[in-house]
Amino acid sequence: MLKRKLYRDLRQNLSQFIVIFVMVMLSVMAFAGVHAYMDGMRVSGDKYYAEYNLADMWLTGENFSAEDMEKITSNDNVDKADRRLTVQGTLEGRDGVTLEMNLIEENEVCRMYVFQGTAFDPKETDSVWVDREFARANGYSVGDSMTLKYTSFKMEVKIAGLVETPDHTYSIKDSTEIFPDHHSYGYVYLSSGVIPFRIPFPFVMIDLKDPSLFDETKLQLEEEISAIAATTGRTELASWVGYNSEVEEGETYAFVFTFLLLFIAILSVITTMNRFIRKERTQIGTLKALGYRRRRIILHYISYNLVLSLIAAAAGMVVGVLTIGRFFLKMEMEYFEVPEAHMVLEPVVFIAAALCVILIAAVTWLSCRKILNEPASQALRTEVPTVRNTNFSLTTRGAFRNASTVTKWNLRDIGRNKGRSLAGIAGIMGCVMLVVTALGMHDTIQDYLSWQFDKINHYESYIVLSSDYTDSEYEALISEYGDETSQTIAFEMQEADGTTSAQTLFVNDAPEHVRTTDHDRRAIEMTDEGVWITEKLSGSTGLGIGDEFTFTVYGEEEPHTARIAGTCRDPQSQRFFCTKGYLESLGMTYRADTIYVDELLDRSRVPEGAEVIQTREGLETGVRSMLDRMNSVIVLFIALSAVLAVVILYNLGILSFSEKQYQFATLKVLGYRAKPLRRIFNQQGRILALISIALGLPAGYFMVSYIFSAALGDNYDFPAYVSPQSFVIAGAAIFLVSGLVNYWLSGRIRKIDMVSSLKANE
Amino acid sequence: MSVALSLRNVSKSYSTGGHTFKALDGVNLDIEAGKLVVILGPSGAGKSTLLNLIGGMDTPTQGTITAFGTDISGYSENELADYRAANVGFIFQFYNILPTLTVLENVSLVSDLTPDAMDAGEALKAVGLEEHLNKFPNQLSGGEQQRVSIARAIAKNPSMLLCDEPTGALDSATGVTILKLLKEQTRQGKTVIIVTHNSLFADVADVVVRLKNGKIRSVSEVKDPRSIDEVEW
Ligand SMILES: Nc1ncnc2c1ncn2[C@@H]1O[C@H](COP(=O)(O)OP(=O)(O)OP(=O)(O)O)[C@@H](O)[C@H]1O
Ligand SMILES: [Mg+2]
Repeated sequence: MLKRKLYRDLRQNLSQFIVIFVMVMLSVMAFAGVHAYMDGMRVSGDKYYAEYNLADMWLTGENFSAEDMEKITSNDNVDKADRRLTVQGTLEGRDGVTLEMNLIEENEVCRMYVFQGTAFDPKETDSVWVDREFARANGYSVGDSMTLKYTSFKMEVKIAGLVETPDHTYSIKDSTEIFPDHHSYGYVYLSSGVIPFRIPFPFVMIDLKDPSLFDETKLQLEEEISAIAATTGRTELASWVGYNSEVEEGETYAFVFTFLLLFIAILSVITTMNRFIRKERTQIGTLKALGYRRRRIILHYISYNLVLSLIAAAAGMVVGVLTIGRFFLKMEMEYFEVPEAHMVLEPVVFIAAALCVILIAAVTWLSCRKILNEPASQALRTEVPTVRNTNFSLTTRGAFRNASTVTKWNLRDIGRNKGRSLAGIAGIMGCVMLVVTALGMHDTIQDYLSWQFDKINHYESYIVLSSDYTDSEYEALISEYGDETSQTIAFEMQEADGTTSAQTLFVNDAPEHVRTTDHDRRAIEMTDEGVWITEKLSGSTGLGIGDEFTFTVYGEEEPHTARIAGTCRDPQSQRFFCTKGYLESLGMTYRADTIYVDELLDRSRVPEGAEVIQTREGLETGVRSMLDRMNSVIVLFIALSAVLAVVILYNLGILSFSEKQYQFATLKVLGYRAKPLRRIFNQQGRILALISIALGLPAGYFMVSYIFSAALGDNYDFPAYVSPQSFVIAGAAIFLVSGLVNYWLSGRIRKIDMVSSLKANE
Repeated sequence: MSVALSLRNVSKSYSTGGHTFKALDGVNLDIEAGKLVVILGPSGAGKSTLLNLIGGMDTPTQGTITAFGTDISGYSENELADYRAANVGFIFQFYNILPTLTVLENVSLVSDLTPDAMDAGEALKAVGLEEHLNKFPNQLSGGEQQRVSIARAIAKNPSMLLCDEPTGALDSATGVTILKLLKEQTRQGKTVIIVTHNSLFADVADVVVRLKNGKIRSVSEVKDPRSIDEVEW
């Protein structure tokens, strides 16, 4: 018989249960989908790096000889080492294509993942192994021939394999590109034997036995081998950093957001269940009085939602992986090159889903038990409102004394039903918070870009100079393009605790085109008095204004000492800044590596002495495509928040309507018309919505703030920003939707059948 | 004496699962103002249905109901609401008072509805609840709760009190108190209609209406009703 009651109850509260189903499913879907692709990226990446021996250490110098290699491999902590020559070449017959050409003797470190063709063989001197993405974008396949050019040197080779390597998961021409363009840029591997004479090997890639002993090994090697100009680790490898920061930052913002979504949805579900059970109070009392065992009554109520939430959670997981997970993994893999990237469902997803189901059941159990623990006589009565202090009534004093009856009634009802009101406020507040967070993530990125592109960069194009340009080439360039130039110097800084760290100094001799900004993004006039340090770097190094530090430029012996003259703030690179004048006052020579220009240059017409032309337009396109990728995640979040918000608001509306139905019937019997009752209902909805919005807007801001402070990589430093429009949109949208839902529900007041609804409630 | 209510050929049918069921079937009835009317009949006879129609809680399927000179059977929702507000005070077996309002507030509600409303405190004093003004309904006994709903009904100062089993859930002593309260209302010219199973009520009524299977069996005027204290409960 109880089973029949269960079906009837389900049918009667159908919309309520559908709403619960949707809330659980939607939030588990987002959680599972986002986890599946992000955990998948991390796990696939780690596996790839481990199996294909991504180097732990890179040595850079003029040339590493065979003796050097012997010394390196004889180090206790070195497992394997390969040396290589890497140059930027071109492809005959294809204008605008740049190829990174790697000449190697063997392939033990950063091994190639071969998609098609044969594995690397140093004896095959007329073969080339080509970046699969480049081959795909340009229509090359195994067996095709290509002619590679490096300066005046030409190589006729045949494609032996299509490959990807773990040091090229994120493969861009230079750090100014953001979106990899596989049409115009790729990498290839050749046997060093392709060149008939001796070539230098300026790079060594080392696979360490124990990567945690990096610093010790570095010191030992630098001691022994004089050819080493710089020793770097994975954290300086753009490819590794690009992929890892994508995963790490993504994990932070996506996980925080989906957790928030899940949390708010489950919170709504459990308050709904709690209120549903309390509505069943007299029924529970009756069943108990009839002699039903506690366990049966509890089971009866738990079975309602256990099955429901279990199915919803399972469906959410499957749908989340198949839609969100699949879509975003595919999108990420257009950007990164990781073979065999796949989704992974880690235990945390199952645990979260199971926790939701258990939590819902537990809340049902607790609320049932609470009622069952009361004496049956008590349970048969309606619940005592928690407020007993009737002497103080808000509505009899101050501003509210002259409020209309409707307002007074509402304020009392809200005050007398604190639990219900708080649950409602929490639910709507959660919706507001979700929407603000989603919009704020978008705003913050836009804000960061406007800082970077409107406040800092004021050029149309810049020319990256070759490292070996001659004086006459340089003269010609500046006479044509002007002398607004800069130089970026990489150096090793002596830290107070004796260790060293890799830092960069940006020597700005282009004050018209590149600004240094302070905390509030105002341009700073740098003087020749010292270097400026970004605030974040100042925090991590402990260097403040007036402090001095010692540093050695990579590849040089002689240390210099610089003084900090001021602090500045940069959204995307944490480094030192100074003027050409200050650099020269330290006894160093300024050698420009970039020229900034006001006009839009043709990127394909690179002048003598220059390497690359980059335009603001090109940069912005790159940024935009990165943003598109991020935006599509954020758009998903905005959409999810919106759907969830509507569902939650609808749910709250039904709850509050069904709780008031009996009172409305009684008031109708007394002679109230439907209209003032509708007003009461709508006004109460509005009051609660306004309170929730007032709380939810700042809460959303803090959420964005938290997400960005946790998600940003070491290089970034920009604050969370939520635009006034976003606040208005979030607030207005929630207010409007909640108003519409309530307006629509309040239409049912007219239809309340007094006779049956008074009968039914007793 | 003026006629407060007049029902002509009133029927009410319910359709359930294809069947139509006549809960009231061709009822004709006139009730004079200021009388205590008792409606008797077995369970399912249609007593509550009749009361709900008179009180404007429901509309008849057929026939006309004239209350205080106007036909209410064709009234719209809003007109019915105004009719209830101005003329009808309901008292139910289950008291139907609002759980989140205190005793005093429950009664004060009606001052929103009608300009003739009595002072809520006075109405509560009349039912002997002046001690409990600030309690919530479920902190009261059943009889006290019923007195709240009576106070609410009389505070409206309606021309008619409609009571559906007002003492059904109460012990007989409390029942007597309630009945006295109701009887008192007729002295002020109000019409009081009580639906009950308890045939002892017939002894104190001015008019007794007997109902069975949706039809009126008899309407008898009691020539000289006994005072409540005389009746053996
Ligand atoms: N909404 C409804 N749908 C169908 N039938 C109904 C409905 N309401 C009442 N009835 C039927 O109408 C008949 C009269 O009901 P009513 O409530 O008027 O009886 P009553 O005389 O008040 O009985 P009781 O003394 O038990 O309260 C009953 O047989 C009942 O089953
Ligand atoms: Mg009845």
